[in-house]
Amino acid sequence: MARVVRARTEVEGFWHDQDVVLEGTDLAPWGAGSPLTVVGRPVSRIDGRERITGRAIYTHDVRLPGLLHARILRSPHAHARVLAIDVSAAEKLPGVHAVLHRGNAPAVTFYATGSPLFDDHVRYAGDEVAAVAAVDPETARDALEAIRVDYEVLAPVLDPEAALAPGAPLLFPDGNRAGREERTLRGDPEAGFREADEVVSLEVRTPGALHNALETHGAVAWLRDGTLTLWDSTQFVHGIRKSLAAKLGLPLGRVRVIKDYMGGGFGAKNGLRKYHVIAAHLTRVTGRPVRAVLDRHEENVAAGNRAPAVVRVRLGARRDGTLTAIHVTSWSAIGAYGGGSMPVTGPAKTLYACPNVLTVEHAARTSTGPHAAFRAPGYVEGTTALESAMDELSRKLGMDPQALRARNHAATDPASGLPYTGKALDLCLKKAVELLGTRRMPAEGAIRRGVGLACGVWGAGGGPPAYALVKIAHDGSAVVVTGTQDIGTGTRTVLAQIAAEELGFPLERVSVLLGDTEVGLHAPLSAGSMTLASVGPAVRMAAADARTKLVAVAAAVLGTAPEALAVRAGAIVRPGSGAAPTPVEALAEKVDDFTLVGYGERHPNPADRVVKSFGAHAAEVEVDTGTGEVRVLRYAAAHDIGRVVNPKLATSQVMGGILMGLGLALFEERVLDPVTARPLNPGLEGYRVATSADVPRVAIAFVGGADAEANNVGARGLGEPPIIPVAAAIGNAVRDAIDRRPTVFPLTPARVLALLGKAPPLPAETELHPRPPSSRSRARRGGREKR
Amino acid sequence: MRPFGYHRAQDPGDALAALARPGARLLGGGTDLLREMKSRLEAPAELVDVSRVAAWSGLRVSARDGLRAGGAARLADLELDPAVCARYPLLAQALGGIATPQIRNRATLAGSLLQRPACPYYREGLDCFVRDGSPCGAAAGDNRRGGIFSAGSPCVAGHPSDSAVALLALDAEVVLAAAPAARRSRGPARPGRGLKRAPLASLYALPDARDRREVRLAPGTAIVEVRVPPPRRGSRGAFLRARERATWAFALVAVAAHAVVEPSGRVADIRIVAGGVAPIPWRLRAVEDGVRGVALDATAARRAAARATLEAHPLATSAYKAPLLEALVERALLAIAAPSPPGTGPASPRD
Repeated sequence: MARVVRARTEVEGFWHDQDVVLEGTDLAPWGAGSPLTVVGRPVSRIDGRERITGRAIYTHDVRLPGLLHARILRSPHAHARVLAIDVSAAEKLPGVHAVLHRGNAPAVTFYATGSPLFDDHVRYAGDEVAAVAAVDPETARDALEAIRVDYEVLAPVLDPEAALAPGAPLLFPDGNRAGREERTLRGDPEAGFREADEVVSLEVRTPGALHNALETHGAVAWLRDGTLTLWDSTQFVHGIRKSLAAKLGLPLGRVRVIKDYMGGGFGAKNGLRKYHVIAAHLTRVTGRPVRAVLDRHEENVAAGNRAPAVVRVRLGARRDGTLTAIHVTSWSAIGAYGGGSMPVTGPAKTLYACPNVLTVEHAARTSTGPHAAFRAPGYVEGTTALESAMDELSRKLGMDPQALRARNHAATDPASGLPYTGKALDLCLKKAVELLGTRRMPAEGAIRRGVGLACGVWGAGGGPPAYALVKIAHDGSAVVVTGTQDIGTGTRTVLAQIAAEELGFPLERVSVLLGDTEVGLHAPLSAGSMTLASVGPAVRMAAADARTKLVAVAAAVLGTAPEALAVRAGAIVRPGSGAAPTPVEALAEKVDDFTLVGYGERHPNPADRVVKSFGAHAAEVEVDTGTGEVRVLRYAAAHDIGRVVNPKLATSQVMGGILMGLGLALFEERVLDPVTARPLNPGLEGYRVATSADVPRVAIAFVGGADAEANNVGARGLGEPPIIPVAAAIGNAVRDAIDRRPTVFPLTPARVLALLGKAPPLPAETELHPRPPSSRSRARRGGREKR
Repeated sequence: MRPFGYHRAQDPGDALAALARPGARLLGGGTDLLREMKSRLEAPAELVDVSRVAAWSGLRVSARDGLRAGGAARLADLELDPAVCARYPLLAQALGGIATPQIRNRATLAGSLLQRPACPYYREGLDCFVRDGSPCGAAAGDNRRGGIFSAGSPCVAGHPSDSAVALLALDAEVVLAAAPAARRSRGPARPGRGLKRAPLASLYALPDARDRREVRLAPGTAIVEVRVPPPRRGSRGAFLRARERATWAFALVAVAAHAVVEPSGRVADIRIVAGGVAPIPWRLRAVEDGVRGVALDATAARRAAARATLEAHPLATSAYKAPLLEALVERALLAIAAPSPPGTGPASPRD
């Protein structure tokens, strides 16, 4: 019977209360007594062959008859007014089918700021000014160059504290503050600091980091017979359908969003962007399919970023290491149109037991591309700062860093006081330290070595609504049908494993259909480390339903009671009877062809529990004190994520998270011109992600075992946890190596030489104060520039 | 990218004749030129692909003539050549760490010597003297990839070519062929005619108001060969670089040192060249003067290395390159003082 149930879910550090629709009864979790044969096996991706042989179709690969190519004209200035725009020459170019600009754009609003598609006021170098559709990309680019724009250049702002101070250049008339100042108070921090024997204060700056998924943002839109089909590189096909339908005034049923294969998202592809609407509107006005795919430069200026942050941490502790007070204040430079801060102070509130906690988050709009969720948004920045401060505290107390963390172990969730469904952070710590092994001798000469440790916590329970079907065909094959998407993490494979396990089918008889709103049932966005924990239990329930129906059919055909039957390895068996198994396809010899459909849904998380994933990382680094180069030599990571459905894929997730975190710690940093706030490294040569040559020896382990309370699969999320502690672990290892505390990331040679006192500090983006245009451009171009 | 013509040259005469056409440019591996074309910094009317010109792609090492490498030889061919590795380990170390193996498989020696500034102000459309005569944006802006010897230059970029740095330390020269431009296509040019030898150093000059280009190769000219003299008795070399990740990154600072060391340990002659510290490869004459005639030991190396930055005028964001340069020079001198047996370093530990 369909009913409405209240569900409380944590997504990316924010709690949501939702009323969700349910029909059935959830399954009991797989208990310790149920031996699993497919789940828990390190099988290779079921779509691996398609991917590596190039047969997988990505959004970028979609080619349609009569396809037009869209390109977007972007402001070269970080802050300017568009005084005039002249598109007449562009419109006359042969091969140009449409030019969209502020004079003819659809009346659609974007961002928390309700900004139009093409604003008169551009707020970052890369802000959209116009768009064209042409027969090929080069013609489209010629058309962009033919558009004349008259700008009045304004002063940009980058430092988030300065952006919130009086007199700052205003991006919006009501000021640069986004959202409210987020303030959380627990206990009495002032009293806590008075009680403390030691107090540590630290200011940490984390960089603007760029997602750089291999596949850039992009969509191919085609309006045919009143239905808009959109192939999109997205983490949320159902979300894109809903918001695009709303923006265009189309009924939901007239919009279909497809995402088959995807080259990564990391949070930047969670929601609707301007390019979606540009593609959809251009197909509407030209009558032809339109491809709007961002190039790497656009991807890196306009498609989202991890907001650079300033995090001030103050910790108070007793001599025995017990934390008496935590005070964390953060400022995030969230770019031109961000809605509010990411949860930078989340780790301060949830990682350690401490009675007295005060946290304040500020989010400032600044003259850069709008930020987006980026793999554990906020928690990476906040953990880098908090765990650096904990390391400093352990030094001040003369206490082993592992012991200090164990001392402040939170037995219940510090924010809510509720128990966890499972927590093995203590085991993670032990395992990570054990895996890193004994410390090597410090190297001679200019080379110094050090080790560091850091922990992380992340709300990774997933939750409803998520629905799935499992169809069994008379040939003994099964198809999982859901509206989720595989963003490259291996979702297809783990869902197939869960279905195969519950069905009693071999894995190779199960396929998975996803990433298409027309086919799949509603499923949540693939973010917040919640895909498996949200969709997996629904798939399991659907598989159980389908299996029950199959057993009923088998009982009728075989003339036995259904209770006497089970399904094992794709065959009907009578446990204990000694009777030969009956393959499912053999049933079809007795009855006509059939399809059995099982239905499943995700039920809410337990109301009186919190669901978190945990991890501890340990690093050994080598610092060349002559050149400032840092190299990670060895790395160990231990995670508690409940049940590990596929150890091979899980290990690969952790490896990816470590590599991405290593980039943030050592290499990755959006660099802006301090005078004009224009981007200096928007390509992959200048924005340095870690390469395979930078990968240290890595040891990875999972501890804690299945979570008996979180959901019926017993799995919690893993997508984000592995990146959370990395920069802190590496920073702490550098601290150990050179006896200086790194506070500005990434730790490039310039920064390390500055730490060593050999060079002046290299400012972070959050320390830049661009000059107003009057002092720099009036002489040459009178504060205006034509493009 | 603007539309352009493409001509695959069959032989030197064909290549030079094609190069004489208006707007023609030679195409080697394209690893820099195509990038410039894509970002519309360059828009040649025609590309003359020399990758099939065998006469310009050869590689020969002999005791009498030293190394003679065609301008169109691939970096990977040189870096992996046993004779180059044995006789010019400095060069093999330099080439073997450039960019990525994929790029080294494509990039040609001449193209590597002629690559344009890696400076983001040049590449990303910000104010740039070299590109369009604007006052240098990096001088007032972010110069973390720039130089420290930029006083008096309207450009503050850091030179990107490790090949140039290494070859200058080895006192290389280039053989240039001129397209028959003046002759207005009076038949195809014949190989051997119109060839001119020039010191490699003559290719580079600080940008100035008369010529904003830091690479001075007359239009219609091809680098058809690079010549390195044979190693002398007592020849010792070192190439060291520091960078921001283990591969696929321009050197922040690169140092090549080549010395002739007498059996007594006295340095008879030395050339030290640095990359990444000035718009062009930078000869560290003060260090050379401090080392010449000296028996190198740790103290002498440290003292001489400190002279590397005597003339430096770093900007705020490039200042870290001064201690970095000194550190690499000191290590290069130490490597020359106590050469490691072959195969044990001081090879780049990362590639």
